[in-house]
Amino acid sequence: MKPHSDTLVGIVLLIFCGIALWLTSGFTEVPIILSQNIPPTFFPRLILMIIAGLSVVLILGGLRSEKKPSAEIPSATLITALVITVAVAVTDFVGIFPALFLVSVVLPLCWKEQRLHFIVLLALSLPTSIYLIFTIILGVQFPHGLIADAFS
Amino acid sequence: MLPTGFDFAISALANPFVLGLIGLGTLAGVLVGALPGLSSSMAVALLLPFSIYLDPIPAIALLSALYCAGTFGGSITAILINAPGAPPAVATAFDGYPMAVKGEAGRALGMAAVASVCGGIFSVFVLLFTAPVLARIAYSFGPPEYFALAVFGLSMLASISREAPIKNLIGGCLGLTIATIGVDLTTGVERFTFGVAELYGGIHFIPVLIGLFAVTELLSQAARLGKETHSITLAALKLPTREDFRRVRGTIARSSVIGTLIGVLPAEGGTIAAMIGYNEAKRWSKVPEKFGKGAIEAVAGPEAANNAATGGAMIPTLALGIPGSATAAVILAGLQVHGLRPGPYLFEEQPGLIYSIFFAMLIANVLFLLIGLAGAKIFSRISLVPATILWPMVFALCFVGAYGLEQSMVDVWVMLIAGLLGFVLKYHGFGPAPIIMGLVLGGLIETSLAQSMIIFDQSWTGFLSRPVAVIFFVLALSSIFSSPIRMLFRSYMNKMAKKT
Amino acid sequence: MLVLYNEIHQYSLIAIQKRVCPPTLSLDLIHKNCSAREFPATLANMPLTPIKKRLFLGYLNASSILVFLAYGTCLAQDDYPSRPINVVTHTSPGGGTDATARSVMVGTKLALNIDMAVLPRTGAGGIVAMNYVNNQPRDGYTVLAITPSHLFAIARNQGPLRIEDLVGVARATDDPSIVMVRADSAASTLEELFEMGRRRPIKWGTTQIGGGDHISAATLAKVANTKIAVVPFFGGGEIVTNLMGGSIEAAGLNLTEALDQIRRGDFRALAVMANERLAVIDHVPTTVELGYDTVYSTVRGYAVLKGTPENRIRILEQGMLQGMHHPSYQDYLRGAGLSRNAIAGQETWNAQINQLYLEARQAMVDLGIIR
Repeated sequence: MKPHSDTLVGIVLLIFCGIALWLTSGFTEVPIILSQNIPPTFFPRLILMIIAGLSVVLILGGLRSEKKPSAEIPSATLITALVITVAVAVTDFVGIFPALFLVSVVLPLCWKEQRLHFIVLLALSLPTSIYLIFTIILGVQFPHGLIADAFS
Repeated sequence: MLPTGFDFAISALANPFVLGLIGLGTLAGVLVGALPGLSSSMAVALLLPFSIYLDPIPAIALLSALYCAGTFGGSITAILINAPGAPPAVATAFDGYPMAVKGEAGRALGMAAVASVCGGIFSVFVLLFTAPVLARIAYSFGPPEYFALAVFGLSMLASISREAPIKNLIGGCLGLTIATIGVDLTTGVERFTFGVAELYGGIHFIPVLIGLFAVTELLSQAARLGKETHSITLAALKLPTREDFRRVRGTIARSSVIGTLIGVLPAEGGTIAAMIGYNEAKRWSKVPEKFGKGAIEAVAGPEAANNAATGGAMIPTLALGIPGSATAAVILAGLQVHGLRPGPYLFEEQPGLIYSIFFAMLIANVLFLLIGLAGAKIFSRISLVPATILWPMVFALCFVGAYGLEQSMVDVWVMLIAGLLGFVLKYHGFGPAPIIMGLVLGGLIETSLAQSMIIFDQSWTGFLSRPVAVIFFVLALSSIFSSPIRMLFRSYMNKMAKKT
Repeated sequence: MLVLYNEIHQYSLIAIQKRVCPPTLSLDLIHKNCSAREFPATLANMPLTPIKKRLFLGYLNASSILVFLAYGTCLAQDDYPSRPINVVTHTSPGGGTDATARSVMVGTKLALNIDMAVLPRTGAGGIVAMNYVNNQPRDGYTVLAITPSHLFAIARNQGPLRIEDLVGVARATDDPSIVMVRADSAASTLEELFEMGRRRPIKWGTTQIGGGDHISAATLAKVANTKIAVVPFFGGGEIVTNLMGGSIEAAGLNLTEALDQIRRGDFRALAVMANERLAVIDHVPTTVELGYDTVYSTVRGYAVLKGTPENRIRILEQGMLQGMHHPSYQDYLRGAGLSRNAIAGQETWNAQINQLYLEARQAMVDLGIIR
């Protein structure tokens, strides 16, 4: 038996507030002359308390309302999230253009695009146009990755 | 009899080189504004050293044109791919993107262009005629007034998004929490930085923005795969009708005034102005329930307001030498580099320069109207691109936009995490708008509260002694309670109607 | 459209020939010659190769490109400086540090025959900027614009750098703080202001808490045995607005920030926190004359990090000094009402950096902020 999704979200938020509040106790202590009676912990703690209070209301609301188990996140979304995370993660190693190439090949395939010529066109034109617009015209220097660095 | 300096400005600008510069500035502004991560303030800063080699008038004309057009450009990507090109275009995405999804991209883009120009031209005229008087508003805004303004902004949380009010409040508070990351201004203490040097200056607004809007939408698109077939229709190319314009007249007029006034205040002018413009459009609308699903007033409202804020921001910049926005600050530096000291004297001593800026901004507004209307038909074809091809492209643009800001991979990670979290939150009924509002207002509200409490000797009652602050608090209360009261009233009337 | 482009092309060439020495134009092409790794240039740090100019460059005819290419290659083989130099500032564009850096750069670019760019790394009283510089190679291509804020941050052990890490290059401005009140204030002298403070703390606007502005105000208050309540703001512009609006009662502002307001009679200058009076407002006494031995001045200069080759620092110093003697910087100084005496080379500036650091430390020890 699954709880209402609001209840779950509320509990997660409460845990988040707990951790964040614990982190605020680690802020550097400042002398009175610097803090002006408003210590750096004042505002974050105030906001976190409010979130915690609202989360409790959310949990109670979720408990009282009819059971509406949270729907499963579709697998296509999980795969997409994985693909873009991997793309960002590998950028430091392979550079931005192979990473973008990866996205423009893998993502349409995961999304069941059947017209292969579209994918080929995208995979070739996307990194090229980014390079032309951003590197050539705007002068942005992208990371080339550790592998390219090792060979240069 | 023409005013002094008028003929000077005409002859200075009626020169193919200067007109060409304004044209190029406008075109570049629209492009830079449209690309997420490249904001008009960055483009103006990039052009500043180049402008040193120009004469003062062409230089300032170029920078002002770029500023005007850049603010409009942000709306294009906000509407087409839910990735606001610049922070002030956030509110445009709320309804502009749903319109594009419905197959009305052309209508939304056309409306954005027209509303932008109306707001822009209105504020430019205000700048010309009332700047020295209006600039005084900036003086009457101390920390307590900014705090009250920020509270008013936060009061819109409950109504700005369609989601449940309690979730909007939580979202807003999450935004406020994100805003506390970095080194605290008042004490210099590191907060939630985890030792990452790039976070000392705080989480950058733009990567979060791109993540919450575009990356979240990318993931939502994946969830929707197969369920909905992307209806390819040529209706997407249609421009707004006369009927549309008649409907938004009041909204545009209201937003233009709001935008100009908020723009005068030296703070995050354009973004806050657009948010208020959106919220007011909704509050005055006869069909507020359509907001968030693709209402045309909801595109006109924020677009008129954020472009009106450009003229508004130039008012204190020129009349007091106090920049009204980040971009205006760079333009101010541009004036100073040319040996001009903005201030009350500038209007008396250099009327020619003031008229030149006025005309340059006017020409830029007219030009981007042409670009916007002509481009609406071309740009809106983007919404006909199949999702499987479009969204990988959007992701590439997001990646580059987040990276380009400070050439840092940390910002790309921030974008990715904001996108993933944004999707999870959206899945559980939390919209991105409140989080963005909290993030925009977070720094302002904390700093101004701390300053106010020092000014009032730590006594909360001090706020009551500031009339402007009290007005904003009253507005905030009315904004919080107006919709519930109206709802109660309506349901009461319905009951009465049923009884009889 | 083509006609328009041609016209712009011609105009741009004329404009550039008139005002810039031609070699700067070839920079773009030098970039492309060298491997990308040599150019960790960012979007923001390349202002002299902006979008527009790159567009213009596209219209240069082939022969001129060849000429520039040839020139570019021989430049690239030269030693330092062979690529753009970044000046890292800690304030947003438009502030005093930014304006000073840009004005210095106009002449320095010509002297060094190389492109230079301002790279704003704003926030936290210079810590963000120092962090950025610390992560760059110490090759003389990254210059830090320093102010007392940086030295106060170092004295509080904030940020990655220690005082020994800074090597001064040249000093650009000396902009003393002036104690100001609004013209309608009850205090017409510094002593009257302090007397007010003894009854009820004066609302005193400063920039970041713990920065030089704040510490100097606190030190002055301590010496004068009066009380102040410090209201922190993001920058001088905000302080001016709030002093005008009456939210605060007094502030220490620079000449660059409030000269107009003094001249117009909106603000009343009570004392200059310096040893000598200022020429432009010579009726205003100094704190030292009035018997308070607290001086504070926004000294702006440039530094590189320890480990940068000596000969490169020398070249940079000469280039920056020439830049400061260039008419555009001299005009800037005159416009801002600043003294030219501030311009100084490495030796003087280095000594002053250490001196300022020690004073900052001492002031903070006296106030009990650090031990």
